[in-house]
Amino acid sequence: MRALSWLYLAAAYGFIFLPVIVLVTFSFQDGRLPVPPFKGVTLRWYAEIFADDRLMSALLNSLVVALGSSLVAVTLGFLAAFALARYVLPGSAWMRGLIAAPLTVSYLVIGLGLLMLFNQIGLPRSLWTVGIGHVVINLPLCFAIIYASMGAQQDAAERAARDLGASTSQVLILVTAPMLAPSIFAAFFLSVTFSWDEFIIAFLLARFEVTLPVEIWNMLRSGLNPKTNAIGSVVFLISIALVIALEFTVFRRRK
Amino acid sequence: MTSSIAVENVTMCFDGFDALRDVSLEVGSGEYAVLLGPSGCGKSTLLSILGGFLAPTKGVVRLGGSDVTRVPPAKRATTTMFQDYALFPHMTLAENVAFGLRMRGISADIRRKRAAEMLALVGLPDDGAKKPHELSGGQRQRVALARALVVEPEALLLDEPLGALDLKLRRAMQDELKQIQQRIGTTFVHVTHDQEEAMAIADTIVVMNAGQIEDRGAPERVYNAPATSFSAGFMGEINMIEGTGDGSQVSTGLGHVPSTMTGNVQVAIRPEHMLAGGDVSLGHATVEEVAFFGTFCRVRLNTDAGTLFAHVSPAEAPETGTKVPLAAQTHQIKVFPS
Amino acid sequence: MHTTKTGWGLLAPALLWIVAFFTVPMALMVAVSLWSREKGKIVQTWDLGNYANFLEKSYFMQGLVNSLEITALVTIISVLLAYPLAWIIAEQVPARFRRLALILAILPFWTSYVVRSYSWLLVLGKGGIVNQTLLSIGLIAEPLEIASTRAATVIGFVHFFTMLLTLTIYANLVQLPPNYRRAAADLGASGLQTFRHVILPLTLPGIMVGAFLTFVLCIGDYITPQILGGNNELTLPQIIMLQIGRRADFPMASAIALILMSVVTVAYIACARWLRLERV
Repeated sequence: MRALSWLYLAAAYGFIFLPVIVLVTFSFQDGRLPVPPFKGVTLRWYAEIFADDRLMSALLNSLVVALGSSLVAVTLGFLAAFALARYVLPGSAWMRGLIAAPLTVSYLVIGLGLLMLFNQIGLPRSLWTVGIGHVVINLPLCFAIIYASMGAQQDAAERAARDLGASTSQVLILVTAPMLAPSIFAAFFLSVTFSWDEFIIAFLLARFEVTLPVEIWNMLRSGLNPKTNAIGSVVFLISIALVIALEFTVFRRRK
Repeated sequence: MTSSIAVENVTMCFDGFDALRDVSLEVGSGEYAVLLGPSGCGKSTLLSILGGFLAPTKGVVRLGGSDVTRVPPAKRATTTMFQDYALFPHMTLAENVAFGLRMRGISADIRRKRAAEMLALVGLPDDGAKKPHELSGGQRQRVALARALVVEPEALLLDEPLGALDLKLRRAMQDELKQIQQRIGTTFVHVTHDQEEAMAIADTIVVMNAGQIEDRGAPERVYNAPATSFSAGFMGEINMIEGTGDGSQVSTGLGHVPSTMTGNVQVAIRPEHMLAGGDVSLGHATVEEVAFFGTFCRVRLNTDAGTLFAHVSPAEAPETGTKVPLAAQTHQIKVFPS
Repeated sequence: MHTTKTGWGLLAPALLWIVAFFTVPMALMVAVSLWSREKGKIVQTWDLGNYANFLEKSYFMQGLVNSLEITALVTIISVLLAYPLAWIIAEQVPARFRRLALILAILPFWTSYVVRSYSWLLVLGKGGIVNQTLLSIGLIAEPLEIASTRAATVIGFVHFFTMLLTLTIYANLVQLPPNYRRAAADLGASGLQTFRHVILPLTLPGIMVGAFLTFVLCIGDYITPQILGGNNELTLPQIIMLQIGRRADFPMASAIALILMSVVTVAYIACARWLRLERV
């Protein structure tokens, strides 16, 4: 590889990893501020975050909202994809457009709209409302991914199943879903990723019980603190570990 | 200006797999050579080495006698016609054809003229402004040919150029390729797995198998007097009969066949020679089935040496169930070691 | 069994969800944008007062200008940084390290978005590593004010979108049939010529799509400008949030949100038209 390319690669990686390295390094800072000079290693900030009830419950909330809303999004997306791919419905192009529409709108605007709706109908803000918002942003994605992978092969298998007497729900559960498992899983994984890290909708639509990004945001108000570094590093490392685990189990198996 | 192209003792090794093993070949200047063989025999690898896209693990590539082994494709005086044509989708046909000239710094006016001439040569004189996606497969192939020839290479390399076309189009293109080559006079090296195509076009056929050259010669010679049993079987349907030789003749299930080979051997006879008569008698056989193939009938024969096949013209096709005499001429019978 | 009724039944849940929780809120937003906030209450005035307000007050128009300038800057810089990186990974990194190189290039994606912006605050702040390094090697005498400026916002954005664009441009590059490159080389093109005449034109549509994505995500983002941008100049999302939070002026917030959406729509139309023209 040419020298210039190596140089650029090094510089690029340096730029990309700079904030992460600073984040993780100063999470061990034996001092009050997570900035140079580095005073020594301590695990006290990690101990603090795990002892912080608000933070831990926020983490749990994020998990629950992510998993719950993704489950709903994938299920609705799967059924809708099946319906639009296998049935001739009038105006199906419009339906597809409608389901995909939220993709074109910024999360802030979606959150604002939902906030006003819930105010209007008197639904109090909570993790449930956050979940509703997350389904709205993830449903188009799940639909698109699953719809794109519904091909002739599934169609043939479904016809064979019906030919042998299966009802629609049996076809869905026993034939279509298993055959589409990789796409369904990919859609689910993507939704969880987006929901887990999502801030603005969670910020607007939650009240007392919040998700992790919102709680971290609140922590920022009290200034620079190695504790924030610690929780950030934890989130980062968990995500990496998950991806590595997936890489070696799900994605390797295909080879 | 065209020249000869050759490889000397070329070996190509990929991660422990030998794609080519000590292969030597020279294609004369102005010759139309066809590299023929089954998938995986190394013919495309050899073509890539000739074109400079692969550097051989061992051996030398020569163009007109000079060593070009380390010369990259951009600087090597060969051009390649790729299997998927690789026409640049965002350029017009004229721009595609003129591309090589542009890379050589030739001025726009001359480029335009030469590209137009070349497109006319391949039968697309009025389509210069079109884009590749507007053309059919056969038309795209002509443009790819024009693009490769306009830079006047010393040798043109064609990688299974007719594979994507249907039969009728393929036959037409085979004729055209031959005509263009004869008109321009450039050395052509053409890779295919279709032996009929090879016989239709080639001045020289090079039969390859498992990284080595099995046979090499004019189509008629390779077909009628194949050098190896592989070559015999690949060039067309052939009957293989087991036998044992004692030095003066070979004994088979059909009788004796003159040959000086000893030990276990395979006796090869083309189907069209089985029922045509000859000085070597091969006993009798019962006709099991006669299948009509248009220009000939394929007769399935039950013989003392197993099931064999004969080709006869439809007018002479025997009835099913009859007993027919088998005979062939001495020079039509080939004997290979087992 | 295979009746249309079943089809509608399967489609209904998703459709109802979108209508109830997307279409209705959007329609509500349009309506509310035509109302006003007077004396602490929301009054259904049904006029374009909020829009007029937006066009008249320099505070709002400046916000729009800020958003557009920052987004344009971020998009251009990110594309210019990402393309070479994607290229090097796709073309020059040895095949067996390619996947690793790509994953490394996008690894920081997995830090939470909020945390990532916060990390840049650490890096660019008065006591942060950039200032400390510059001080220690004597390039500056006093710490620079980098954080809480437009520069910091741009850097924060560029960091994120360079990763995103590297991924999309890489995907685009590797799906180019390799024979295009071989054919160009075969006809005498050098690496640079192949890039200029073949690769660049063919990857341009993919770049456009990536750039559009960058534009949309960047102009609608609240987090990065809020953490890194300081209070001297605000972007539209920040202004919207101020309308909601401090003043509970939902009508004005709705109007600004719709204006933001219009800007995105204009960009979308421009992009779609360009892509249709460039269709190969």
